Amino acid sequence: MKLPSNKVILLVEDCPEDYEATMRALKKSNLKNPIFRCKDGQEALDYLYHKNQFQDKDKFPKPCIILLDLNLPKVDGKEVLLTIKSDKIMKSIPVIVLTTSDDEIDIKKSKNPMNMVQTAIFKSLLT
Amino acid sequence: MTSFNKIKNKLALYDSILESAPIGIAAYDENGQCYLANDVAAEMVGAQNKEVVLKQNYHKIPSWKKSGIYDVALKALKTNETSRHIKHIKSSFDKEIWLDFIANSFETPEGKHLVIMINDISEIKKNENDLVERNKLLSSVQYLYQNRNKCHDYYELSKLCLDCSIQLTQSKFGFIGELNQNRFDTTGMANPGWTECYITENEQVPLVKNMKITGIWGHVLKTGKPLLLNKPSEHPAYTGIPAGHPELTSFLGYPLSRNNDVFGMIALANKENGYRQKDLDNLEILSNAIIEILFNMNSRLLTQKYIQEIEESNKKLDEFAYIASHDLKEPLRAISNYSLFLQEDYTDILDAEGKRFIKTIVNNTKRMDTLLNTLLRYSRVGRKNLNVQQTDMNKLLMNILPNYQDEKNIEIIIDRLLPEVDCDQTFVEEIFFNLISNALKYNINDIKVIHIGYTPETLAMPPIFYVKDNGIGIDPKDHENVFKIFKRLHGRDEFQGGTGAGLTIAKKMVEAHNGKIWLESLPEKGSTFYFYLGV
Repeated sequence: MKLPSNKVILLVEDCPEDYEATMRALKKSNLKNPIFRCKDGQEALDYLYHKNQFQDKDKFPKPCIILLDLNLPKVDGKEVLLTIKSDKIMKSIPVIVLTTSDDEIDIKKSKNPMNMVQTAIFKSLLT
Repeated sequence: MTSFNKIKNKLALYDSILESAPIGIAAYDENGQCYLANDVAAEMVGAQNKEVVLKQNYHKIPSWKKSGIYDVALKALKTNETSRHIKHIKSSFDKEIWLDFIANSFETPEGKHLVIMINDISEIKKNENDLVERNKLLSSVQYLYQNRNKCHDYYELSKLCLDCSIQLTQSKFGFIGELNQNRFDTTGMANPGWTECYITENEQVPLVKNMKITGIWGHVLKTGKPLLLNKPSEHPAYTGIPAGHPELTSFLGYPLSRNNDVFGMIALANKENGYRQKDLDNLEILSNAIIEILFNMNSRLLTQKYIQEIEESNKKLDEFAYIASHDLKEPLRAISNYSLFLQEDYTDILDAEGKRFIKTIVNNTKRMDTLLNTLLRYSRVGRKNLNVQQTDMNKLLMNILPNYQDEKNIEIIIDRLLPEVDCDQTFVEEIFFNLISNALKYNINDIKVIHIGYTPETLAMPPIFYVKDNGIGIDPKDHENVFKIFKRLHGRDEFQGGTGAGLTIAKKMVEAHNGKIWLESLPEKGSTFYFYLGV
């Protein structure tokens, strides 16, 4: 998938180690895109809908892709996913789910209802 | 012999016949005056002798009128037909008997005479009554046994026991209950018809708990002896009745005991005309049945409770294993990732020893990851997740066997065509896979031979499947150990490693089917694993 190099990538990840690992992987793949990190589901929704500290639309533009952890504090990843994919405008943003959970239920919930997820990347060992 | 003598002799003969007849006979003239009676008749009604009877005029015998005999007599006179009446009477001489009364009439120029024959059938009636009572008792016991399994809990059962007791003794109401330390809890109650503090008719009478043991019912518990009172208020232990409670006209209390320990009682009240000894005798027999079924229910409930607790605890263990292994994976991933970063980003700085250390860390995180995955898998094998379908075991095996097509020098022989079985296909595939994999793994023969087959279903047992190998075998002292999680009988690097959970998971899967798995094996003699599925 080719990304416009100036657009923001939204990374929703609470775990600092996983954040660092993801950043390292992105850096290695030579992506030039600015990356914005949200630490929980609520923050991600606030960012997308320009609420609270994210009201400045120029400073916090619509991301070209969302990397979404499923296991998040406050509002969890599945709910964020459902909100995005039920929204006419947000729906077009590709979402990549980052998860360790190979639990079938988790995968079904994110994949099946509206064919919502493009890819699920498993945070396996030794990525 | 003169004709006078002939007549005299004949009269004497008639007298003898009259006196020796085994029934009471009496005759009355047109005025109702008795002029002939035998001693048997006198004795039957409790008169001193027949002379007393001979003084009677049936128009003036109160017991005749009261019992309806009088009407029977008049009917016989009027219709000239035999008239009969069987009745329990109290005679003019205060004797209570069951009387079979037969009346007839004949005519002389003086008018109509009445002849009666009476027979005391008290004994027959008593036997008949005993039979009726016995029948009632038997049907009560039968009713109790027939309906006990319809009861959902202990209270329903107690109520059933109480209802049977009430019906048997023709009581109006009562209660059944049990001792609770020094207090008393009712477990069943029949509405006595409270006039005050009465809830709605539809609502069950609430069970009173933690009662102070007092009054006449308390007396039964304290003494451990039955109590039959037809004037309850005169008993020294009587403490009165609560406001709104209907008056107590009679009371029958029976202690429930087991191994001479009184554990409860049945109290019954207000039988019309009072209780008799017979009621007590009947209740004694019924109570034996009641005690037995109450205890049966108790042990059944206890067993159910234990099973529930064990299942609950197993479920919690599974949940714990799932959460623990899931959560442990996160820090493990960080350790693994950062070791990898070190390996990749600092390769120039690290010396050989440092690199070896990191490699050891990485290897161990891999191993721990495998262990955690196994634990996760184990925790998710439960009865709940069972998806039971009719499964052709031959087809099922065909799904597994391709896994071994690259292995060399093996022979897998299916001894006979396998049956269809109701089971969870995924689970049973894994059971066979684990058994076959082990059979190949722990085998140092040039040609590894595995037999798969089954012994057919019998009335008592479902089909028993087996996987038999010619491998290294297992010492009988380790037969139990092979099913323990992470228990390994060999070094980690011998026999291609493995986590040591394959058989544990297989066992859990078999048990999820209500089945059993076991083995027969001796060192160097190969192993045979058997299992059957119950479902």
